Amino acid sequence: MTVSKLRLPRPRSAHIVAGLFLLLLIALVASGCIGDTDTPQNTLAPEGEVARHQRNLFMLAMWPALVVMVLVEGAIVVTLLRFRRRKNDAIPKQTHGNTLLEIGWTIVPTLIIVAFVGVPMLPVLFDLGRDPKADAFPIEVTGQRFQWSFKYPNIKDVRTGEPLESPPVVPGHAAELHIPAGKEIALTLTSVDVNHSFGVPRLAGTQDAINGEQHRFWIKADHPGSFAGQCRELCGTGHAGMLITVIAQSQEDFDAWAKEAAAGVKTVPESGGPVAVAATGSGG
Amino acid sequence: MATEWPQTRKTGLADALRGAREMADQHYGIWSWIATVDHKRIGIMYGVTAFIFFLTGGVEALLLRTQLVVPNAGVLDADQYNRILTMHGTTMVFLVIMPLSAAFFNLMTPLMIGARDVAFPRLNAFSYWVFLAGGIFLNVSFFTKNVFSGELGAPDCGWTCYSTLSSKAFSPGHGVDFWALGVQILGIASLASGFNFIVTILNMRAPGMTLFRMPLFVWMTLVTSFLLIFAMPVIAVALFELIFDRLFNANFFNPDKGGNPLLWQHMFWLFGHPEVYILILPAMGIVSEILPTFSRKPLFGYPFVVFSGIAIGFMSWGVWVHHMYTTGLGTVANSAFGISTILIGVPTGVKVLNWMATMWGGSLNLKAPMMFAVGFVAMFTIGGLSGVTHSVVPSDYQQQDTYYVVAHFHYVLFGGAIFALFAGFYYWLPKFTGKLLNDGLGQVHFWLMLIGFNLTFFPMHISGLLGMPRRISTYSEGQGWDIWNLLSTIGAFTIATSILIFIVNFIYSLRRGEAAGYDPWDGRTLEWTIPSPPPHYNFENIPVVHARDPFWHEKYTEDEQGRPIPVVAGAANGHEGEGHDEHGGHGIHMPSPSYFPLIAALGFPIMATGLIYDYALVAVGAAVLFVGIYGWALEPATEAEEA
Amino acid sequence: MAQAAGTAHLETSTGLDNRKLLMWLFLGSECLFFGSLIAAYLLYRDRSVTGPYPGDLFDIPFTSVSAFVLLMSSVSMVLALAAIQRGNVRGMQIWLLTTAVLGLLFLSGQAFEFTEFNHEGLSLSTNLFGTTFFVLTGFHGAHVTIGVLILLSLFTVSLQGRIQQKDSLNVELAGLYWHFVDIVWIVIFTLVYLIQP
Repeated sequence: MTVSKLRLPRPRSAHIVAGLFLLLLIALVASGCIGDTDTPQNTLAPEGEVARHQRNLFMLAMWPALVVMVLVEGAIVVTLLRFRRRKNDAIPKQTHGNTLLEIGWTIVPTLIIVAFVGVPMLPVLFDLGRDPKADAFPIEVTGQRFQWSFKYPNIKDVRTGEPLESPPVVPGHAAELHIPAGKEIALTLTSVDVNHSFGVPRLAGTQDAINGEQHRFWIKADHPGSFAGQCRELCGTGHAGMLITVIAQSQEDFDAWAKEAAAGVKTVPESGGPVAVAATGSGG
Repeated sequence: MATEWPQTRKTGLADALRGAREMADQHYGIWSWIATVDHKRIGIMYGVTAFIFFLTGGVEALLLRTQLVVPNAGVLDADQYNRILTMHGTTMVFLVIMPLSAAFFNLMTPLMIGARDVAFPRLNAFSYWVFLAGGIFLNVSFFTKNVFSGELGAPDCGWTCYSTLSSKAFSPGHGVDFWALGVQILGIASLASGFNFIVTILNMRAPGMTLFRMPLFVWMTLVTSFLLIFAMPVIAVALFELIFDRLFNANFFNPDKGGNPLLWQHMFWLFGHPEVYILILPAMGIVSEILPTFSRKPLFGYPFVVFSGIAIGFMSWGVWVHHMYTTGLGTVANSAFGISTILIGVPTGVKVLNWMATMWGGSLNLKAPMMFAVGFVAMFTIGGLSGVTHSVVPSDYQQQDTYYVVAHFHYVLFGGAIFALFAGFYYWLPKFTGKLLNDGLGQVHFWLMLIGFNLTFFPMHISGLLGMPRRISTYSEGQGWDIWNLLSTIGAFTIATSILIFIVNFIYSLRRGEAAGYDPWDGRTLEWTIPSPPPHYNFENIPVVHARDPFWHEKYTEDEQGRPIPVVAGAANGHEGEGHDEHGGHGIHMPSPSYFPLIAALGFPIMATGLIYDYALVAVGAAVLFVGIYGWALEPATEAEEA
Repeated sequence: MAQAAGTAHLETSTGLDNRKLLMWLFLGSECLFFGSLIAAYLLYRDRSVTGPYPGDLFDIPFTSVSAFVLLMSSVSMVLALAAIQRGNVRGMQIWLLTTAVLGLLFLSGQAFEFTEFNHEGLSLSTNLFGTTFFVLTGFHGAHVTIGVLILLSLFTVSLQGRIQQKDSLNVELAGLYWHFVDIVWIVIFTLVYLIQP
């Protein structure tokens, strides 16, 4: 190679640039790790079994991705500094390629991503996608413009004799889904109008609610608590306000709630005051 | 149908048409542009028009970002927000990246293969006029309601316009009609373009230019064109189905009659995934030209970069369900497409490695084209890596419809395609304007845009992982999203500033720029062998090609030790006596200008408007289209032979 | 579809005429177009919530005859091309006209069939069968109509003596399009009419 291999990059300023760049990169990445991770819809702070599987898989893919990113960006910076044109540079050797290298760097990355990404993914995918267990607690979730409603087949509303249905959502508030904590829940999702998507990140990733489809999947909250979510598929002007609060309760508390709800006792929404959302505008 | 005007029938019409043609045949004035069939002019028109749409799409983005700068900002209401976000996405995909790529196909392909024009010059002009018509038609929708009271008539279903939101029941206004018909019109332009470039590349290469001696940009143009001609029909059918559902009560996506809204998603993404490769392959082609030129080394692994491009083209058809993982298609479907999506990362990665190996050991000229090209590699890599994390199906359930996805596609489409297209501007515009862009301003543009871009879109990875959904018109406090949105908005305005710098640079350099000359960059390919700007006929003599990077081999040879050295002026390089065209120096026959492509193109927006407002207009539009087509078919393509 | 330089054939890198290559590419693209429409039909087959259903309406013998007519029009198209390639302008004119007439006959059959179905209560909006059937066969019919227009245009232009043996490519291109449209009908006829699950 005619360009000097051992020539040092211009000292000081080049080192500073490279160092700054690396710092920036690390800062960007680390920025996600610092700060409050206990935010309501943090996909990386799971409180449900499904979300935990999803987080773990993501980490498995993310760390190699970050390493590759740092390596590639670093290599770019090093290349730019080391080989940038100086006066009186000779024309570099006109290397056309290296077949062995090409084959190598096609096969090796394939193996790596299949190993790190493909193989670990499949068992989790099949587990998350299996039918809910026979004894899972069933709830029917219906999306409409612009609120979620829930029906509990196992809880009979004493007033109607039909399965208990959630009350209409007060505008600005979240729809409340009550579930027993620590137990597998079978959600069946549908929509009566346009596509919606039911996403409560700390329990499980989102799934779509489609008119004409019954989309069934399982979730499970680790422990009692209140978990936030919202519609994740553009559905119109009220899309940003289609909020969800999942209230997971101990079996005792859940049974007590169910009894009260079935009897028609009015309960104050537990999720607190109104969440301000922008005006929906002229609509249509 | 090569014919002569009938000599015996001198009707007034024939004379009038001939007069109009003469007016168009001048090289100056608006008529010469309106009737042009010259690929260079068409390329310039594509570029200017697409850049103007880039600015509109950019303003739309700034509006969105202003609305999201703080929770409940109250700048746009939800209805306005949805319409502007739909137009932002639709504009950037169909009215910016695709036509900017088309601009480069037009400007560069004939020059790089040593041709005088494309295979079908009038079809080429037709593509441009149809694109312009579609872009205007789409944007006119803004004004179909009462704009002055803040009511926008633009579509509001998102650029993906999913069923059943797109149905008449849930989008009763005309917005979605404008979207569907507008995109349909644009599809015609792309289709015509695709056909034209495939025939041009396969059939019009200079003698000696085998497929494996073609510049890589031409290869990417070829693969993209094949993707276009096979993907556009699928979206055309989907759009017809949507239009028929809305206008004629068909049931394609009507669940009440047994229709499945998912059919729209399948068809859209069956088109849509090849579409994203249509968006990126030309950019990859541009970068594959710039990196070797500015490293003074050939592209490392040229055959492998070609094969990766072809592989990406084929594989792009087998991954579409990764846009639909959360729709409940089942674990078997999701796993199959998960695997295929993982695998499609491999050829892309191979290209990145080849680009890096091109630079390694080179002598890097860090002018603006090179900075943007390197910026492409750096930013596209990040976008590609977030794409790999998406392919993990279960975690995609968390990422789907969040800002993590928005981050991913902006890294590949802005950090990727747009950076590469700017690289192409700095690299190739001087060939057509004759003036170099100011490099100092170019560097400022680059750094400001790089910083602004990362400031805008990197935080979106974080807000997405913190659960922020896409396409929400506002968000509440306490979600942990505030700081990231603030940073993104600051970044967006930084990008806007950098674009202003580019515009100033462009205007300044048109007047006062340094003359480009034939070969400002010590280039490797044929376009640098002709003057800047090129003459109407491109090449005085069609070159004979003996190698890949033919111009490099004209300029440089190897000494006894195999080291590259310049060819001494006047020295023999073994190719004397070649390069004379078969006309032996007599008149070069260039295709004649024509008005009919424009006339035919006008038929489409008229028909589309008629479908929305008054069916009588459909007949008028059809008549205009027929007049245009018949005139086109029956007019002679060239003037009578020169003596 | 004129050529530069006024010569019948430019040298091309592949040896194929530009226009012929264009037509083949166009037909390839049309495969995706009709493929998508056929896929929609097949996906929605047997999913109509209400009738009328295919079994109620299809008159296979009638449609077989019109399919045969279209098939024969491909034969006459071949004869038209063969004629002009031998320099027989008159022969080409006769066979072109025959092809167009047979095409029109096919279209009349379609029109009749559509009207019949409509009287039986099938429209675009009735059910999935109506939607997918009419859109698929409607687009096919539109393609045939355009084909007939092309054939009649060629015929008219040839009356002015502007199609000679050296211009046979124009007829060949029309032929390629016509045969394609015929093949699509064979596929539609088989999948939609003949193969009933």
